Amino acid sequence: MEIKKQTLENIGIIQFLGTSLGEPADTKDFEVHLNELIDQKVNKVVLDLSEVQRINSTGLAILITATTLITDSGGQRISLAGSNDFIIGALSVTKLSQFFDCYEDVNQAVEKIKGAG
Amino acid sequence: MLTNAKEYYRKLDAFLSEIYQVSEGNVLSTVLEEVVTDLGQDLRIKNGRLYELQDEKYVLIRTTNLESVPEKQKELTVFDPAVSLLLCHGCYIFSNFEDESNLQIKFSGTLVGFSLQREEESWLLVFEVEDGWDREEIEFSFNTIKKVLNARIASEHFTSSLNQAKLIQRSLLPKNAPKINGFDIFGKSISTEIVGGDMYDYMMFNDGHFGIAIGDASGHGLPAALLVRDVVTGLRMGLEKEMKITPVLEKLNRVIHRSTLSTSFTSLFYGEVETNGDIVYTNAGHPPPILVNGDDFELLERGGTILGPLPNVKLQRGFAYLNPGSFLVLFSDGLIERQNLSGEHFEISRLIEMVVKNQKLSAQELVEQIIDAAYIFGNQSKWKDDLTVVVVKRNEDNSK
Repeated sequence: MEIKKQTLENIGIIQFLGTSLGEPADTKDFEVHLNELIDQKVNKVVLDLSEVQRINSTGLAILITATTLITDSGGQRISLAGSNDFIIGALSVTKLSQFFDCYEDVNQAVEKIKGAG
Repeated sequence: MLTNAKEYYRKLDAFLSEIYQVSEGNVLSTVLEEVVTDLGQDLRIKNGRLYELQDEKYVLIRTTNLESVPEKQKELTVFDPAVSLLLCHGCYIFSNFEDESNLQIKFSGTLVGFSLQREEESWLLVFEVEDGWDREEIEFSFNTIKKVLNARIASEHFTSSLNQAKLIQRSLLPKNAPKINGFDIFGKSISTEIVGGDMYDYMMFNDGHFGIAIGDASGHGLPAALLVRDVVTGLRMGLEKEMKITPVLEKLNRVIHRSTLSTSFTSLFYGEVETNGDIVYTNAGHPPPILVNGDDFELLERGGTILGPLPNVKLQRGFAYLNPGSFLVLFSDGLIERQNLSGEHFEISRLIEMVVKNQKLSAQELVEQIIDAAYIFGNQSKWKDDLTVVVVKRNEDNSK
């Protein structure tokens, strides 16, 4: 899956441009982007999942990695934008939803967290 | 010189393809023989010998088309200059022994050979060629054979490592469902790779109650299998020692969290069933087992997060009850996430409807029917994810 990143008002936005998150190459690609944001001292990150239809256990591991890396570097909770019912269901079953803030879309997430912290 | 180059290269191509068809364990001896029989006439090869590294010596283990080998040629030291030449070059042709007294390989004719390595293992293949051989043809052919052979033995080693992992994993999965008075139990797991990430287990205790575990490790292949191994052994050891379910799973979480694979995690449901039908369980992020009681059902969700991502988790215990005739359906996400051509999932709602309707079936019949239904739902296409289903049924007449 193609993964892109950008920064907006010092908030890192990582966009997943594919329908299925958790292909073998996704983990490495994602960590490269996330580490670049951490190196730039970005401490607020939004993961844009609006194009993702499906997530597997490797995809869940990616979200957990994001939480671990960001909080270990002094950053804030990860925000998820545009998660569909499947992703919300997967986070709910694994009881991981408590570790993320979920928003309708990237704009709402940015608006909400830009003033925080 | 080759009389018909085009035909020879076709033959060589077929020969190289066959290297991949040879059964495991016989590759080198088969190649040794077939180089002489299939390519010998074209390349002027008379005979061949295969040496294997054993305790710093290359020991002759096989010959082809060679009646006898002098004693001193049956073992070559790794310091032998001829051996060094074979180890340093893609393939080496000994056509001019300048100082034969230094060589343990003493041959009357011209020799060509190459070495193969796989981690600590090493082999030498040496062939004798007769007049009429051509350097370019020999070098091209043997360098190509060497490359293909190296790839073949490396892949064989990899497959054999994976097969060993598969054996470890299979040995940890239950071979049969336990026979427990008053209960009918059956489980089945389908793995999409040689080794998979799903696990289930049964635990028997002296007072007659029993435990059932089902889990799904993140990822696939070897890392997932190793995690499954840790979970199964950790759970068994912990439960034997402590007998309290939530501290055991919380401790298991710490062990998984400390493992070097920071993204390793597993979902795990563990429940214990008393002979009177009482169930105590905890669910660490696993799709909730369904307890079916007549037309009613209950999802066993109580517990906490999946094991691994967090240094500490706090799990809660849940309680349930199996009436006579009621049953538990435990499954992994590979079942409910099975997709059809329209991209729809099998879904837990479909599973519930199905098991409620077919509750008179035995545990095994129910498991088989669930798996068949998911297979048909997915348009009979190959399974894309590991899949496990376990049914624990309390018999109608529990006095037996």
